[in-house]
Amino acid sequence: MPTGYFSLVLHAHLPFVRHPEYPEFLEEDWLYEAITEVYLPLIFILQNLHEAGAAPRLAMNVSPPLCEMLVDPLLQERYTQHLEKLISLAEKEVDRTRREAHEFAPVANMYLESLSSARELWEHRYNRNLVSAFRSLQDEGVLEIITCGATHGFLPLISTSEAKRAQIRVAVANYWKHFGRQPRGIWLPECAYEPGVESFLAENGIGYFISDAHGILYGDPRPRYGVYSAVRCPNGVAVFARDLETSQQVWSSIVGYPGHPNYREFYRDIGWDAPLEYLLPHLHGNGERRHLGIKYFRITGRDVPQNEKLPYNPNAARERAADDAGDFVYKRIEQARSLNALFGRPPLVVSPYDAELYGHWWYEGPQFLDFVFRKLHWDQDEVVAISPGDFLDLDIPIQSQIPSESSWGEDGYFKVWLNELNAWMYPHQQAAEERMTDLANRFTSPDPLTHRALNQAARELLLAESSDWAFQIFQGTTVEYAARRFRSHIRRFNHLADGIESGSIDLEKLEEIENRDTIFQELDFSVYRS
Amino acid sequence: MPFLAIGSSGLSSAKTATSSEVVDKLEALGVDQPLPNDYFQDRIRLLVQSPRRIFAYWEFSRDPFESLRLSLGSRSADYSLIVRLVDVNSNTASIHEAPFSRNYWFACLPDRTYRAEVGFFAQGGMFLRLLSSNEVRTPRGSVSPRRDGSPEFSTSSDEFARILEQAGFLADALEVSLEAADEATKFRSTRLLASQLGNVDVPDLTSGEQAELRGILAAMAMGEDIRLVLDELSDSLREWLLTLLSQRADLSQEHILALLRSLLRIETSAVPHHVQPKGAVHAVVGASEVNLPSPPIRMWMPSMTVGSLKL
Repeated sequence: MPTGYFSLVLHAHLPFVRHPEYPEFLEEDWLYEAITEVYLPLIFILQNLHEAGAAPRLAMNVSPPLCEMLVDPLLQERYTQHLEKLISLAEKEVDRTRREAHEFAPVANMYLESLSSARELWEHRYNRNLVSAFRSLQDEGVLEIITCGATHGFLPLISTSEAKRAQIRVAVANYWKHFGRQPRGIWLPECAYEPGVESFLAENGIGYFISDAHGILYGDPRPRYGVYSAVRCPNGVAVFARDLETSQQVWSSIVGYPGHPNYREFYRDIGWDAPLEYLLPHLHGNGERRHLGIKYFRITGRDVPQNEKLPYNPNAARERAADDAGDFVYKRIEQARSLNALFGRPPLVVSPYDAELYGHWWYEGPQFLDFVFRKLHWDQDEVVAISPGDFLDLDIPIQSQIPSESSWGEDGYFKVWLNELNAWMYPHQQAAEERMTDLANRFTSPDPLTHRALNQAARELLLAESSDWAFQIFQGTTVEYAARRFRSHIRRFNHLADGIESGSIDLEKLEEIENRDTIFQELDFSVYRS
Repeated sequence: MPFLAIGSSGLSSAKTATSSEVVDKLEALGVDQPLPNDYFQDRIRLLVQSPRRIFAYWEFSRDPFESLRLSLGSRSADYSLIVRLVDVNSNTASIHEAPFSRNYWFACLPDRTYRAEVGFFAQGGMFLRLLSSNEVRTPRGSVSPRRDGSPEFSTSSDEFARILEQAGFLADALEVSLEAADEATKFRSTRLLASQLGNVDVPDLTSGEQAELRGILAAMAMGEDIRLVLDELSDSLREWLLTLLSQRADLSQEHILALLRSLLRIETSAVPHHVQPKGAVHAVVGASEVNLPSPPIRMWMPSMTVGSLKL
């Protein structure tokens, strides 16, 4: 019997961003950056670990919108071009640094090498289809892939039970399409839970969800094992809550690993530093500077100004990642021993993170994870890496509890998604949610054209419900884009609903909307029926 | 290194810029105009933001003032449109003038059930209800008072305090630790602590008020401003606290921690004043703020059981 269990949970999600109406689109870069910096490295590392016999085991959410984008031919082609542009820039950089900046040459070579490997993996190993790569990892027993809300809708703020149910039903159907089986668990969008959500999960065969720490700690009655065991809602759906100690070790900018001086500095990017003319062929058509992912400096120190950062040293960074991984594993053992002594049974430590942390925000993150799994497997035998589903299979007795309302957003409840900046969205969202169910109830056997319009209206509603828009508006990051997306989907929904109700559907507009908002081709509007 | 100079734009997240000169076939569905102001329905909805804040929005299918004028004529001038927040269990309500914006942010209490109503209100108390919302229950925002009924999962206050401390929930750990101390000493611990704060007699308290008092002490030990929650307290506790604060304006977090140490042997490490560790960067999409309980200090609490406490 191990001293304790450790369950890493990665959350990979991006909102559905696809703009065929433009030759290129800035916000699509979110996907391309994530593919290069996060998904390809993670898939590659996990496969290597598996082949080496390190028995990596973890849960990962690959959200429905992300899956849909990863298999979209337009986006796959655009990513390929994006990667080519980056590789040609890396080649120029290898040349330039050899000629006039020797201290950066190793780093330039590092980028050329890793980008070329990325192209090789993308084109030939994975045939541009990362969903099938994730699926293989699941089928081989490495990943337990869990689903998410269909468009990452914030369930407590969705106004009708039909619309909440639809977020889950559509997600599960989409999961079947991509992964060929029933999802065992779900990453609730933003870990947002309110009592009652579990009934929609159980209806759709989902056995567990992930919540923030206070979901269980503030649950009723008091949890015997805190967050260190699952609990079960009265209807049997299990809950796994985040361990904050492991979160802090990685996330915290004060005490967390990613802040070490040897790691790569995020904000010194060639896209901001190099002369514009030099960069032009590699930027978007508008010639605006942006992050390109080629960065030459290391953090150097927390209070070191950006213009005094020192050159990045890949070997030193790699060594640091190995040390941090060793520290992380050591701390897991200590934590397991102390909790085991407290409880008299092995604790489960659940560590959920945004996947983007590993590779995008923290460049050396994937290396760190590689070292962690190697050390877990070869350097010790007290802590075992498992998935939440594996824990349920252990048949350890589980306490019944009603979890507390919670989310992993700032302050722990719903403030990020409902506040003075974004409250204006909800009357529109509610009107659309109610109207969609009304339409679904009325049209029991629509003619083909009306059926198409109803399905597309459902897609528009789902896209409007993405919690990403409210989040971005509150955070102040890409406010304009988020607001426009929300308005566009509400407008398209209303336009389609008007046409459906009046019996005169504008075919040209319907086709144009269908060509853009292609998510969930398998969707049928009847999921919104009462 | 002349080539790589700092870029000009301040290293913030990517701006949104799109290609121009595109023929937009969906231009008629212009996304840059605001969305419709009205859906011409009678609707009101109440939404929870947090344990102490809820939000209502509403709409009318037709102008309510018009209907009022039609039925009451000149007497309609006596009425104003108000929004009312009803505490369902205690059947009490607060009244606020209904703004033109047709929404309202209410301060409220945790773990209560509320309903919002909009209607006309005349001096003299007449209320004509026009809209009545869904009911919502605000989160408790703290640990459950109940322990599991089964022996397998039942946990003593002492054990639970330890679990909370391990999880980094220090304010809650301290509160539950005080609960454990009270259980072991028939409520003498918290009374003793409270009485040592100043020269104000601690009133007789119900068990609910005892729990509130523990909450106050824990909050003060964590450096929180108690004045913010005065309204939530029972009358006798509020009175006691106000008297105490007026007598001891210098009552500090350090003082409370010193008392905890001397009376109950609870130790805390250095307490930085509300250090909020932010995530490494703000993500553009997806990643949320991590709820790290702050401040990141450690606490050591001895076992609060009968016989271990020497009061």
